[in-house]
Amino acid sequence: MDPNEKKPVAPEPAKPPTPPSSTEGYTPEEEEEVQKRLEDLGYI
Amino acid sequence: MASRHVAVDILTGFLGSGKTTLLKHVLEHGLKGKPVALIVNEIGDVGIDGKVVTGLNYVEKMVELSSGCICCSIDEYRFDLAIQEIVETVKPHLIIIESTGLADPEPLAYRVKSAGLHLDAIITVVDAENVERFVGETEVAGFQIAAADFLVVNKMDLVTPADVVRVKKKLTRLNPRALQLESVRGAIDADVLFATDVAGHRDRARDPRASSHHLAHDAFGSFIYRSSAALDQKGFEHVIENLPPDVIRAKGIVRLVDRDWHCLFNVTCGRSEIGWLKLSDDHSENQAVFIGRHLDRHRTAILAALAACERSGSEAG
Repeated sequence: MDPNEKKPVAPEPAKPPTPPSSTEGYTPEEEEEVQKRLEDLGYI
Repeated sequence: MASRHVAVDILTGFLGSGKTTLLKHVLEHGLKGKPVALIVNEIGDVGIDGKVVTGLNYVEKMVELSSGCICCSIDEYRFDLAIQEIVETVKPHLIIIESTGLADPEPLAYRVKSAGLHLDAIITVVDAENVERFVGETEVAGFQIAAADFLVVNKMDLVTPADVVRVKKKLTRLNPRALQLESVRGAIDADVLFATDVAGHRDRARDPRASSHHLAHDAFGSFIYRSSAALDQKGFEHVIENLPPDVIRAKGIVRLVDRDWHCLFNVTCGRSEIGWLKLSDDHSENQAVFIGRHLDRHRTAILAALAACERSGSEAG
């Protein structure tokens, strides 16, 4: 890539204003995995 | 899918700035015990940077993308395939993408979000000795600085104190939002760069007795917000989008009024993101951690602003 090339333009990502409409959650096993992820990443 | 909840940190910086050295240092001194995957992008047939970090046995998976620059010549399909392979085979909690020295991180950040992953931070490593020349000669060096949440000013041992002042002023002009951190040969004391670093601050905030030594070490403090009432969404978004610049990171999970899904939020140096999770009703408590400098000046006001968003059961209903 030529460093002087014009900057590639990325479209602006849409901000998710509302949660998904699906009412499905996780299985107990999946929820356990999500819980561990959230703990590792400092959310909870 | 549970495994899609992956945080992504993008590590960028101009050629020779010390990205791989920083990454190697961080992987050797932090992130241990956490499932981390790396995507290393090197232009050419041989991924030199990739070879440097391959020997780290606590990195679960490393993928090299070596046929083109990740921001402009690797197509979306191939990028998504690499991400999908990592997510499904390694189930990492954190993916670190080290871009080429000539990549603009903004299109890459867009691809990460488009792939359904959570962008945690853009970390740009800056060569203190040469950054002014690079910015003068190439646009992309400026783009990398402007996109950063964290600016790691590396090679501090090669410049004079007067150079440091001048360089930092220039960086502030190019990106007043980013937190600037100093580094020598990639060694950095502060543990705020990567998504998994937040957990340590959260733990120390929960147990202040364990925090005194650490706070003296990096001058960052932290506090916790907890409540059981659902929050007004508009008010909550206003709070997290207007946190004082001293708040470097904020993360948490909250319940919002009239929402079945939990709201997962992340603020990194003023850039806020919201995601959604459908968890069981057992998770009814709001929890958040705030990390930054001089938090004693802001803690009361932030907690009061969040409390003002709380709605009782009758109000929420």
